[in-house]
Amino acid sequence: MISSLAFASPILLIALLALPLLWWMLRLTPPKPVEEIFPPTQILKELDDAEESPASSPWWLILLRILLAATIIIALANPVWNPTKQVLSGEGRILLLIDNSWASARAWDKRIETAQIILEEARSHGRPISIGMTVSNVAIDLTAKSATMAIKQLAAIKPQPIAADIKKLTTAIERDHQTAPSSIIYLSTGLHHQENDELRLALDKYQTGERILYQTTNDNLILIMDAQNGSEALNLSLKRLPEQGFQAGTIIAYDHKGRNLGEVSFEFYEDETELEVKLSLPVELRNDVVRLNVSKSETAGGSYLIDERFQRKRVGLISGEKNDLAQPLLSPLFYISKALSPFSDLINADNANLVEAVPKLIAQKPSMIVMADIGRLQDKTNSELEKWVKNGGTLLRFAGANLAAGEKHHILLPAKLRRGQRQLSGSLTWGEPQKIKKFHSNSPFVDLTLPEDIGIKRQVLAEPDLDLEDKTWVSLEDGTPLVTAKALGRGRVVLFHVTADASWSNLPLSGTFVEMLRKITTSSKAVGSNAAGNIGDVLQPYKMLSAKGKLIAPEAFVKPLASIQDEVPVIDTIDNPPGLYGVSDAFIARNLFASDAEIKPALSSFDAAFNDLRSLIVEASISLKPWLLIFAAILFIFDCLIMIFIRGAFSIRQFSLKTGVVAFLACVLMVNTHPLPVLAQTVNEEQETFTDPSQYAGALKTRFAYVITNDLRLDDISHQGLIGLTDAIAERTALEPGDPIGVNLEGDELSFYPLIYWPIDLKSPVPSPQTMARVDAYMKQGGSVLFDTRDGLSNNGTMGTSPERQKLQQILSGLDVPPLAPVSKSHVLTRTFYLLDSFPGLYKNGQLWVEALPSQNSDSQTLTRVGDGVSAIMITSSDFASAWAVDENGRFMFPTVPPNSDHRIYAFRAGVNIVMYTLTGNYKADQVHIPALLERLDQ
Amino acid sequence: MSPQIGKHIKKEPLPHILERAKLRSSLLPDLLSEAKRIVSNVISGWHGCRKRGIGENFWQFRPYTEGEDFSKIDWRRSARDDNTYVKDLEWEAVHTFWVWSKLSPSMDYQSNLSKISKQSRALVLGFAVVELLARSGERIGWPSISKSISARNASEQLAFALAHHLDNHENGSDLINAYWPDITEIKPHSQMVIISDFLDPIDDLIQKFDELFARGVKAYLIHIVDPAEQIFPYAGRTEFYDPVNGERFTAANAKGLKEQYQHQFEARIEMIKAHVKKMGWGYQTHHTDRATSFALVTLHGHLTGNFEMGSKLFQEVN
Repeated sequence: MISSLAFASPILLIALLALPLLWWMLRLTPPKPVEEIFPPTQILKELDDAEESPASSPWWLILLRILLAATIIIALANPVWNPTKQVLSGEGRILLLIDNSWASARAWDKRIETAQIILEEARSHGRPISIGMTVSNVAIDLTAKSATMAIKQLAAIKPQPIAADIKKLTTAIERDHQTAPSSIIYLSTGLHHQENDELRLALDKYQTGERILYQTTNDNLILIMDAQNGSEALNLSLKRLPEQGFQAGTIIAYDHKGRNLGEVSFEFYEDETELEVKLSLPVELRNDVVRLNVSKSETAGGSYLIDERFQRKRVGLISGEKNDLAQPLLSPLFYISKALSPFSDLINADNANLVEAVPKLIAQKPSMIVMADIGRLQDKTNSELEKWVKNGGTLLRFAGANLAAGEKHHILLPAKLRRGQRQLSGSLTWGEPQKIKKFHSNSPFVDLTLPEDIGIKRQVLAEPDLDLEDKTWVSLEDGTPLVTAKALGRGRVVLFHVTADASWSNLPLSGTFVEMLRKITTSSKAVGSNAAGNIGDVLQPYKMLSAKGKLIAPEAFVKPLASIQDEVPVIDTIDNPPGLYGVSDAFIARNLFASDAEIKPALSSFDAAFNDLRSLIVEASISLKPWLLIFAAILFIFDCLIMIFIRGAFSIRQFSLKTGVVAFLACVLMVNTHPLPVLAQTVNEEQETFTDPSQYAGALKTRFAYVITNDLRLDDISHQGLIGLTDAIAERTALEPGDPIGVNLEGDELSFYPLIYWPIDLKSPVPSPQTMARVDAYMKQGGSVLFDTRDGLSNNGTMGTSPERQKLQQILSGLDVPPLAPVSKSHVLTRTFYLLDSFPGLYKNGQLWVEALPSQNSDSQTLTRVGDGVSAIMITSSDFASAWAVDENGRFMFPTVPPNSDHRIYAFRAGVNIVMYTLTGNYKADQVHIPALLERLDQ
Repeated sequence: MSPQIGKHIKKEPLPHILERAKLRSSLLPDLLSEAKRIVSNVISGWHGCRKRGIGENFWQFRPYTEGEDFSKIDWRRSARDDNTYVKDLEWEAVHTFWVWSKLSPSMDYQSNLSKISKQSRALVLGFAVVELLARSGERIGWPSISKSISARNASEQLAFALAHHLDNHENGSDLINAYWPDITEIKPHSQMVIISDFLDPIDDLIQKFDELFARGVKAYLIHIVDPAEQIFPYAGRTEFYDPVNGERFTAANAKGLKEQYQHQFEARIEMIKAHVKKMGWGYQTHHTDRATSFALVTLHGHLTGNFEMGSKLFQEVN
C-alpha cells in the first residue's frame, strides 16, 4: 500500500496565507523589556561596549512562532496519513458475520477495526448491512440496517469467553428471506467449530459473488485444559493447535484477589500439541489458587479456574479416648491436629459416642478420617465407614493399646495384625529402638528423605502375608512394617503401626510425621462436595472469566447455576459462562473446556466456501492531528521558556526575591539540621562509645563511685572512704570490688556503678536539669545514690534545715523522688549482711532514710517497683566516707564522734550492709519474715 | 513579569525624618558614655583647644601677675591664702558647620535590596549630624536654606526651613535639582558635611570639590549608595531610565553588563576618594542597607579626630 497524505478539511489551509502577516506583526512587537528606574543610568551609557538591545524580535524567535502557527493551522486541517483504500466491491446488502467466541479476544481490536473499516465504506457507499455473530445472548437479527445503525450495533459486540454457537447463527441465516447479500464477510477466529458445515451449507443458499473470509492465525494459542492437584504439585494439561514450532511460556497461579502465588515455565517442542506441566507450590498456597493463567494469553482458554472441591482437604478426627484434655500432650489427636492443621480443615468428632459421631463426620464430607487407637467399632459404624472409604475416602488409623487388643482381621485394617504389641526397647528388654529402613516406592512418601533420628519402641505387628510387602509403605530395619495401606473401593485405608502420641515412638515428634501426614492428605480425594450443601441449590454468579481470561464481576445477563452435580458439566451457553459461582468463600468453578475437549483449526473445506481469503486489516489510516497538536504544544512551551529567559527570569533577581526566600529557608534548615547529627554524635560518643579508657575500667569490675565536687579535699575523703569500704568488703565478704572511682555526673556514664556516693558540698553548684535527668534515669534503671549531708554533728538526727540539707533539697528538687522513710527495724537493710539496728558513720546518730516501703494493701505500687525493691535513694547525715576513710598507710583518717572503736566497726558494717543491699536486692528480704516462718513451723 | 527592583520613593515628610534623626543622634551620647572608658575626652568639647582663652569651662588657677585686669581675680580662691589667683577658662573655638544633603530625584530611589530610599537615609543622617553638632553648641547652617545658627534646637529650625522650602517648591527648585550646594555664603575655615550619591558627571564634581577646597573649607563627604547601584542585580532584557534627566538605556542582557558596570562604579568611588584624600577631607561610602548609626559613628570619629574610636564605637554598637 502506498503511503499518502490527505487532509480531511483542506479548506483550513487557506489560513497559512496569513503567516506573512503574522511575520510582519511579530517583527514590529519585540518582547517588552522590564523597565527599571536606575539613577546611575549615565554610568551604563558610558560603558565601552554597552550595546542597546535591538528594537525587534530576533529572527529565530519569529521563525519559531511562525512554525507554531503553521503547525496549528495544519493540525486543524486534519491531515490523515495513509488513507484507507476500498475493501469491498459491488453494491447492495452486506452480510457481516463476526465470530466473537472465546478465541476472538486475542485480536479483538483488529477485528473491530476491520469491521469498522468495512462499515465506514458501506456508509460512504450507502450499502445496507446485516450483522451476525456467533455468540449472542439475544436472537440474531439479520435484518438489513443502515451503516450508521450497524456501527452502533458493532460497538455493542464483545468477545465472549464461551464457544461459538454456530447453530444459532445458522438458524438465523436460514430464516433470512431478504434479497441475497452481494457481499458476505466472515471475520473468523480460524478455529474449527462443530457446526461449521451447517453454516457453510446455509451460506451456500445465497448466490453471492463476493465472499470474503478474514482469517487470523492462532500462533501462541495455549490452553489449559485441566488441572489436578497432585501430591507435590499442580498437574496441568496444556494444549495447543498442531503444526506450531517451539514455544515457551509461563503459567501463573493467582488467588481470588489476583495476587501472584507462583509460576512455572513450560516449553512446547516441535509438533507437540499437549503438554503436562507441574506447578510446584506449598500446599497452603496451592489451596489459595483460584485461577491459573498462561501469561500473555489473551483468551479465556488460557485461564483455568479452580474451586474449593479441588483445594480443601477436610479431615475428620476420631479418638478412642476423650477424657484427657487436661493433659493435651498425652492425647494422640494433639499431634495429629498439629501436623494436619496447617494444610487442612480439621473436623473433630463432637461426640464420644462413635455411633453418632461417625455419621455426622461423614456427613461433612471429609477427604480423610483419622482414627487414633480405636480398636472396635460398632457394626453400624463399621459399615458406614466402609461405605465412605469405598466411595473414595481415606481412612488413616493409628495403633495403640486399644487396637492391639482389638480385632486382628478387619476390613478397615490394611493387614492382618498379630495380637498384642511388640516392645523393642524398654527397661526389661535388650533391644534398641528400631529405625526406619525405607519408604517403599509404592508409597506417597517415596521422595521423603529417610530420617535418622526416629526410633520405634513399640509397634503392632502384621501377620506375615504374601501381599504384606505390597501393602507396606514404610518398613523398619528388621523388615516389619511401620505403615501399611490398602486400597478399598475407590478409597484406601492406611495404618500407622505405632501410636499417634510419643509413647511408642518419637515419630509423632518429628518433622517426618508432618510430612507423611501431609502426603497422605494431599493424595486423598474429596468425597462429594460440601459446597453444594453450604451454598444451596442455586449458585449465584460470583466472578466471571472475561474473554481475556481475567476474573471480573458478572455481567447482568449471567444467570445463576440451577443445579449442581458432583461434576459440573461444561455447558456452553451465554447464560452460564465460565466463572466462579457461589459466594466468596464457597464457590464452584466452571471452565471453558472439558478436559478432553478438542481444539483444531478450521477445516479447509469451510474455508473453501469463501472465494477471497484475507487477513485482518492492520494498516489503518493515521490521523496526524494529535501529533501535530502535541508538536505545537511543545513549541509553545519552548516559546514560553525563551520568553522567560529573555525577560531575565532564573536570574539573580529571582534569587534575591522568591528563590532567595526559599534558599534562605533551605539554608536555615540546613544550618539548623546539620549541627544536630553532630551533636547527637557527640552525645553518642559520651554515652556509648566511651572514648575515655577510664570509662571502660568502670565497666570491667564492680566498683563504687562517688560524685566529684568542687572541693578537692572532700573528693579525697570520698575516695579514701570508698577505698576503706572496698577493703572492708573484700576482706569480709565474697565480693572483691575494684578501686572506687569519681564520676562527673555531667559527662560520665553512670550505669556501671551499683552505688554512687554523693557527699553534699555547699560550694558545688546545683547540677543542671540535664544532669539531674541523667541521675534520674540512673536511679530509675536500678542504680542507687547514697546522699550524705555530713551534718550529723550539727543536726542530731532531726530533719532540720541545715545548709547542707537545704542544698540537698535543691538538688533533689530536680529528681523524681519517691516518698522517703527512715530505715525501720524490719527493713532489709538491717540484715543484708550484718544484723544492724542503726547505721552510724562518723557521727553516731545519723539517721539513714530510704524509699518508704509500699504499704501492704497497695499492690500496684509493689508491681511498679524496679531494681528488685532496692531503694534508689538513700540519705544519711552520718558522714560515712569520713568514717571509712583510710590513708595510704591504712590508718583511719578521722576519729569517730564519739571516739570509739566499736563505733568504727559499726560504721563499716553499715557500709557493708548498704553495699549488699544494693547488690542483692531483696534476697535477704525473706529473712525479715523468719519470725513469722518459725511461728508457722511450730504449728 | 518579574517585579521591578528599583522604585521611585516620594520624599518622606520631614517631621518623620527629624524624628528618626533625633533617635539616631540620641543613641550617640549613650555610645559616648559607653566609650568613656576608652577615650575620656570624647564629650568634653570637640574643639577644646587645650589652652586658656575665652570659654565657659574652668581651665586653671594661676597667680595674679602685675598689670592684669582686677576683674579677672577670683576672689573666692584668693581668700583662702595669701596669694592672689586668677581663674583661667579654657579657650573654645566655635566653628560654623554647614550640612547639606542632595535632594534631587536621583536620591528618591530605593531598590528592594534596601529598606529605605537614599533620600530618607541622607536626610536622617544630615539632621542627625545637625542634632549632634547643635548639642555641642556649634553654629550650624544649611546652604540655601538657612544661615548658620547656634541653637539647641537647630535641627528643628533647619528641618522647618527645609520643609517650608520643599512645600513651596513642589515642582522643583534650584536647590532641589542641585547636585552641589551653593557655597557663596560659606566662609573660609568652616566645615561642611555633604551627603549625596555623587552620580553626576565626575569632572563637574571634581571641579566643585576644588572650588570648595579653594575657599578653605574642610568638608566631609558621605556617599550614599543603594545596594542595587553597587551590586547591579539586573538580568535579562531591561530598560533603564534615569530619574533625573529621563535618559533611557535598553540592555539586551543586563547580566552581561554587570562586571563592567561594577568596575566603572568602583572606579568612580576610587576617583572621588583619591581626590578627597588629597585635599585632606573626610569621605565615606554608606550603603542604604547598612545601619544609619554606622555612618554616624564613623562621621563622629572623623569630626573628633579619632578614627580608631569611630571604628571601636561601631564595633561596640554592633
